Amino acid sequence: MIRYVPKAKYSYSAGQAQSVFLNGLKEKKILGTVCNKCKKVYVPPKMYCEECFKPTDGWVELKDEGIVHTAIASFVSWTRDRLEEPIISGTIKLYGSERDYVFPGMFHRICTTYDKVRDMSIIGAKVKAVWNEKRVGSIEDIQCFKEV
Amino acid sequence: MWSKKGRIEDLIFWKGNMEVEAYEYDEGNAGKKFIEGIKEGKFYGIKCSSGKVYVPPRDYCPEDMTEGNYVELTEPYLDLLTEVREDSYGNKLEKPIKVGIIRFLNAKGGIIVRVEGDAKEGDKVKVIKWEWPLVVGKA
Amino acid sequence: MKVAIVGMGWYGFRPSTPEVSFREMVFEAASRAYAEANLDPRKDVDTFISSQEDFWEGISIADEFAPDQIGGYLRPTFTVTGDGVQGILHGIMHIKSGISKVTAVEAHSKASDILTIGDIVEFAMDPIFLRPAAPPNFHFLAALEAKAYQRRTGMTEEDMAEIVSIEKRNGFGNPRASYAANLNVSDILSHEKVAEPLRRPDIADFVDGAVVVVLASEDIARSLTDDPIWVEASTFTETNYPGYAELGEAGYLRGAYSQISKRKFDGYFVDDRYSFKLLEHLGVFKADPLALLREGQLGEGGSAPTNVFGGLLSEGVPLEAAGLTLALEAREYLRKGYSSAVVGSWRGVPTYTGMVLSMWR
Ligand SMILES: [Zn+2]
Repeated sequence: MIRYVPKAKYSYSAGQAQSVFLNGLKEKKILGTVCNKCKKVYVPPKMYCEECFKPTDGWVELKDEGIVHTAIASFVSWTRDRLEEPIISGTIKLYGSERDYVFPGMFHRICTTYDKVRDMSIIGAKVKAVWNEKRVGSIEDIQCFKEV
Repeated sequence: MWSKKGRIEDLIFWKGNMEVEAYEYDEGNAGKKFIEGIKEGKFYGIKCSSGKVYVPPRDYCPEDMTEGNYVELTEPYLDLLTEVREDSYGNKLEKPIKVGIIRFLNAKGGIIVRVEGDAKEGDKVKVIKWEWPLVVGKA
Repeated sequence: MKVAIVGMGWYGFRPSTPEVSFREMVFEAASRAYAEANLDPRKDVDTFISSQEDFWEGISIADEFAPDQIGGYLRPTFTVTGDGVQGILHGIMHIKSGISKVTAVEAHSKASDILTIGDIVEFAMDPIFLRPAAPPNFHFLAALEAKAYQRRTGMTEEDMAEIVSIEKRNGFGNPRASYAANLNVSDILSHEKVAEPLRRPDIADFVDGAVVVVLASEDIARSLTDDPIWVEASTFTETNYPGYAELGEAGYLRGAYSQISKRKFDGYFVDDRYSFKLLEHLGVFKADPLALLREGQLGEGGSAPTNVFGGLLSEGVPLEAAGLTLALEAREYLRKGYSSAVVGSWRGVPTYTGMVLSMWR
């Protein structure tokens, strides 16, 4: 066997849309872009509307609350360790969208119980962002979305 | 985009790694034969039904996809030689590294090796260390 | 049935592009290409092709990130792991097979995002026979090829410096030539060697940039423009692993060229990420390129005008967008009134894969 450890390191340019979004999180703001033609709101934001193929027209601030669209409980960590307590995460549909499957939203941790994931009662629940005291401009500035 | 922020302070660059830990490559039959041969002080190539000999050996003959027969090769010569003085990022190396390709008469292909001493292109070479990767010098 | 280029757009071509993510950069190039073609990608484009490689993006399964920025949201989009000319080749197949009338092809580079680009190139090397023996500089493979080419043709280091000097000056006036410079042969020869016989100026730097090409079937092309650019493309991978049997002969490009209809070319646009590669690649299309260089025949008006806008030595190496960058040069050349041009592209060290794009009007 020939063993090889690759070195693959990057400095990803967040670009226009994601830079504003991440800097917004530092200010406890969830910012999205809006296309005035089709009215679609993008969170996470894009500088172009993928449906209309034109630049988005401006920024909107969304409430830091929404409803749980889907959720899972994982007993395996990112580094593949067995977890005693599961990590619960899912997609949060932020308020401000009339469409069922296309919506401004976030994938994040959900502060709830395993039972509520198992019996699916968490789905549709109203949740609100729990912000970290110290924020750096990262998706981790939000600790989780917690049931209200 | 009809408007763009240009001030570097407003822009974010996210440091990250590709999620790759390590690989363990199987050398394959021919690769194992080649590397074991090196440890025994021998060069192996593969002879195909066409009569062509390939080095390093492969698991199949490229012209007809049949298995060939291993043959021992002797008397390597240095075909091409370069001396590397910087790394890929432009940092000067402590000591220049000589790298070359050794080949054998009547065999197609060659082996990338480290070169020590003043061997020149065209010189017959001998192996200084029978380990993979190989180090060679002037014979 | 013929296939034409009906629009091209680009963005970037600077050593770094901090103001955009790679997706935003492609959107910019795509917007320009569709404006030129006068097409709406959401209505008029049938298929979308992205030419990319995961380790350049730093994202595994990067295809997932391909569609939106070229207009391919919820539309048929697929990726080609290779150079943009290979993307064009697949686009031509889409159109000739009848599944598409209009196809968009993109390739891009965010090389400045890759902190360990030398290691990524090393990662592309054969893991058994090459990587363990490779020095910590991937240019060594090109240096060995240069030595082989020198031995075969008699090319000197002065010839290589002459190429660099011409190309760096040719870049002046080319809006994509971030590395254009006024360097004479003695300036270049005063630099130390990186890997014998290559000096720093013999090696093109990487660059950020995106290029989008819109291809159309013959009838669509004629309805869009009075002056379509017809294209034919091919690709070839030389069996050179392991063993490096035939270095310095550009067998990969010869293999690609053998599949293309023969025609007379008014201009040559070849991968020159290493100075000597300009001659090695030109030699696929024209006999005795070294003599042509020494006789001063490589400029406009010469018998083999080659990289007259500076090539990659002036523009930089935009990873998989290298072939499309040369295609932009070729199109610029055709716009000056010439009737044909050819692109000879290469995927760079450590590959032996070449692409030919023939363009005529
Ligand atoms: Zn829209």
